Amino acid sequence: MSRFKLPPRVAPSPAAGEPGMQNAAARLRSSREAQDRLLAEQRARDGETTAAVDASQVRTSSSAPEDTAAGRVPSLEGEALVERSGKSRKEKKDKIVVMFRLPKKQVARLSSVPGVAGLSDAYVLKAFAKEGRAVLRAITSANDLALLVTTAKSFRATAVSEMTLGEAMTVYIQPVALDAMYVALEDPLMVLPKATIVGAFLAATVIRLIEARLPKKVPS
Amino acid sequence: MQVITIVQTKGGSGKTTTAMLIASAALHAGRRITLIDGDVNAQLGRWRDSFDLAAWDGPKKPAWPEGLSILVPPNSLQGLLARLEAEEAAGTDLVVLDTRPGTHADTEDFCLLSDLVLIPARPVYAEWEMTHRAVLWMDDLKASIAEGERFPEVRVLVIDAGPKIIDAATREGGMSLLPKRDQDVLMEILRLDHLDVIVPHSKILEQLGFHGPLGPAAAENAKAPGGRLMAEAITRQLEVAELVLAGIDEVLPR
Repeated sequence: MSRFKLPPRVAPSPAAGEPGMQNAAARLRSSREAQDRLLAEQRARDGETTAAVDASQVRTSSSAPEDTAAGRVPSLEGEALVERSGKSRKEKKDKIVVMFRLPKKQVARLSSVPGVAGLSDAYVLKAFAKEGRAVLRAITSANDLALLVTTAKSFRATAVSEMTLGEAMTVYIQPVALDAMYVALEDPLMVLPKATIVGAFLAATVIRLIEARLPKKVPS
Repeated sequence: MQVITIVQTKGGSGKTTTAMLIASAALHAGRRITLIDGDVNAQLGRWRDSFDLAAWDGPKKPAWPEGLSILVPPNSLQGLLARLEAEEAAGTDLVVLDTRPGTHADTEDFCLLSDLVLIPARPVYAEWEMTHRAVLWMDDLKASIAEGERFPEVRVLVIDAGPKIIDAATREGGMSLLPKRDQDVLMEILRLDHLDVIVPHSKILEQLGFHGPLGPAAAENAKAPGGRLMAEAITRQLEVAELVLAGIDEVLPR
């Protein structure tokens, strides 16, 4: 007897209910469940390091009660908000070219980050900068900035001679976040260039990301 | 005889490329392979035609290997069963069934007749959901058959990965250098049952129709003046294909 035979079915074929459809409702639902699980895991992880990482603040803001009330599902970091209808609603953002610079003492700490052995400082910095840029892009309110303000202010106070040479980067910021940044850096009349303000917050974000990756000191 | 079905609900995800890679490696290992093209695009079915039409500039084009046959699927399920029996009787070592994108009843039949279902997954944000759906589809399919009945093994194959992704997946701590979004995609894919190999992105993957099976292509290029670099590139891809085949052999001992 041949080993090739179709097994008997005890339930309808999954494909029969949605012939040829790649975006059938059932699979979209399953996919959303997977996304929800991913988001919940992310939040659980972030919750453990709330004191160290500001990113968790950014993410929780995307699922604020007002969002839920407005019929939106929580979105992943950096992703456009998605309404229940399935249409994406892109927030208009300001495009700003900033000079990404860090205090030199921060660069010296990079070698302690796990996993960077054999990589150049410039490469690692670029990776952190891109991650920091994604965090800034997702900021939607003044509350999201709270953890960054002190670091951003101290960065502003750092002498240029104590900073790295810098690299030009394009950053996208939501207007409401930009306004909050000016207020937080005590320039409500927006005298300073946007790039100066956003550059300080980009540096602050990256500094906190580096701190979060550094091995934690075990209390003796 | 090993029977493998390649499934992905999304088009352009590397199903046919995976079939061609596996065929190349199996051929290089001296096995007899039959490819059955169940995809409406018939890209795999036209592999030999594409190869015959390809204008090789320099190296002498090798003859199509005898151990590699390409068939269109029979019109009926009974025909497919008979074809598989005939292939086994003829001493074929490996049958690979390529399928069309989407969720179709005929693809389910292919899967249920196979020993292994392989789901190629490109590690990019736009595609991991589709990979997830394909895996969920296989779960649903398993639930639809009687308990205790044979069901194929299901594995994901990460394909067309960039150097950063490979770095992140293989170097200790490399994951921390990936942007968060890419980290999540990679973690989600690797969370699924997967073959222990990652197929890197390569131009050769896009040119399999031109080169034909990789072993003969590498050998002929190596002989031709100025063909050394191409031969090396093809050989590297063949080595990856051999790792994929080794992963399959681990799941389906011969």
